[in-house]
Amino acid sequence: MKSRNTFRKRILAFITPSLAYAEETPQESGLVKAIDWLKQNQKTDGSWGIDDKAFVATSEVAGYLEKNNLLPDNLQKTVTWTENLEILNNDI
Amino acid sequence: MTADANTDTAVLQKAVGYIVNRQHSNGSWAFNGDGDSNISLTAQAAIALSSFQAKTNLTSSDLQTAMRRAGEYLVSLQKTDKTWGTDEESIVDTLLSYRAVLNTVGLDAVDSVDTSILGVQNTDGSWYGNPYITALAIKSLNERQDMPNAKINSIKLLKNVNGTNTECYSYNAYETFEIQADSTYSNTEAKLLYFVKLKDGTVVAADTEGQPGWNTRSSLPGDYVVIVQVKDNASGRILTAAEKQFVITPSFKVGTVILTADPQNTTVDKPVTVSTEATLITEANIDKSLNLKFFVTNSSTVIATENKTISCKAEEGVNILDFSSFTPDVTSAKDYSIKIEVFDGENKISEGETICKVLPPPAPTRIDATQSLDKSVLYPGSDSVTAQFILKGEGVPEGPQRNPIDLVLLLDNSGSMSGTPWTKTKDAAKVIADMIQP
Repeated sequence: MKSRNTFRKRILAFITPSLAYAEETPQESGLVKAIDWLKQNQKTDGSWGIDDKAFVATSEVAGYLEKNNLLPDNLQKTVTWTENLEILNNDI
Repeated sequence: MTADANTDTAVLQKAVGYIVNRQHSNGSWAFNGDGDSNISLTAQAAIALSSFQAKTNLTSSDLQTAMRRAGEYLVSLQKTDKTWGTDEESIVDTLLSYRAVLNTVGLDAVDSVDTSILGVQNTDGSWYGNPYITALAIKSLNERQDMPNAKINSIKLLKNVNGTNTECYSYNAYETFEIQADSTYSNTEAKLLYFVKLKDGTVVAADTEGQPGWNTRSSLPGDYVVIVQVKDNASGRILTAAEKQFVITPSFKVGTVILTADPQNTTVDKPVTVSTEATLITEANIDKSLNLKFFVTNSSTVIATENKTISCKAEEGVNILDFSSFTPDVTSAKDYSIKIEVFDGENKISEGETICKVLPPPAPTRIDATQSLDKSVLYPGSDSVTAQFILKGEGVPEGPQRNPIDLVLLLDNSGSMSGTPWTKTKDAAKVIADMIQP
């Protein structure tokens, strides 16, 4: 559980630096839970979301994590997934 | 695109221009041309514009208007709980619009939305088990975190009357007021933004010579709103905003009447035809029809007269009118008075006058001066006029009059004067001889 606590503190420190050790607001608890859910629900190939929605969902999630320097290990897997994406030709 | 600090600003500006041009008049955007307005697309466009402004610090009245209109469009579609729906289909609209409204209209309009968003979070931490929605929800909740406190306590509109500022909320056309906002904010670098919302919903920056204020000019009579926003410098979020209503009352005033005669003067025995022109400068926000009485008199004898009815348009502050020309009698020196009287119905509201002179014959030897301007009216703002002065000599100058004298030249031709002294003496004597008048 030690690593879990460290993670929680990092998220909190990012959200509200001054309140990292103070009592959490509902917003903060919600955010911590949500980011944790994303961490747990990344697919093994590094993406998020299903089928044709995966690209949009993954870019939205990864864009946010990258910008805020969160979950770097998970992001590394996403980079690999993105690099292996097959570019479909959608011309009709 | 705006996430990358190094992206070429020129490329971004072009993209922002494209987005602004594609906005519908109700403030929304649609996926194709004039198609149906789309809430999440409108929200995303507003977020993009706001992000551009926060990152580049570039702004314009068009951009401000686009953002404010987008925000107001979204606010107009809020449900009673202030969201745009919280079920799986509509939550994306809420998550994006929440951020868009925070960035364009301010917190007050979406105060309780984060509670509604948290209300539909699953116990596992996700929203609808969907990573895309979850990521958007995280961004929305983040947007509100650490939002500095800001409050606008009051907004006053001040009119300068004889050097003293007086609170006033009713204005005529072409009146200027100053905006004074009392605000408090903490923990942040913020700036105050001032706007006037016009009757058609357009938002314009309220700025007179660098100071918060506005001139009503010919804006239509009606109810108007001053909007003051406190904008966080770093994030671009509107921390708070407040409004103050004011009224523009119907008004019509003739500011100045300028009469010009061309030529302005002539001289005896030089017949001319004098053409006349009147310039009416109005300060008005309503159209009005005016009766003009024009007459030319010479010592109480009316020699020319003309009546005209013109319709003055509020947005055209300058009306230029030609009146009939007349031919002054040039057998002797006299003055012609040219007058115009401006009537609103039966009431005389303004008048103008100029004099056309027949001057006595000039001295045969003289310098004539004429002047001309390449336009008769200068417009407010930056304008220029070229003035030309022509000086022309007439007649033959007379020589100076002298009293007659007897002049005898006596030259020393002795040996000591030989050479240069004698040559110079002869030259001097010739100069004197040349100056002798017949």
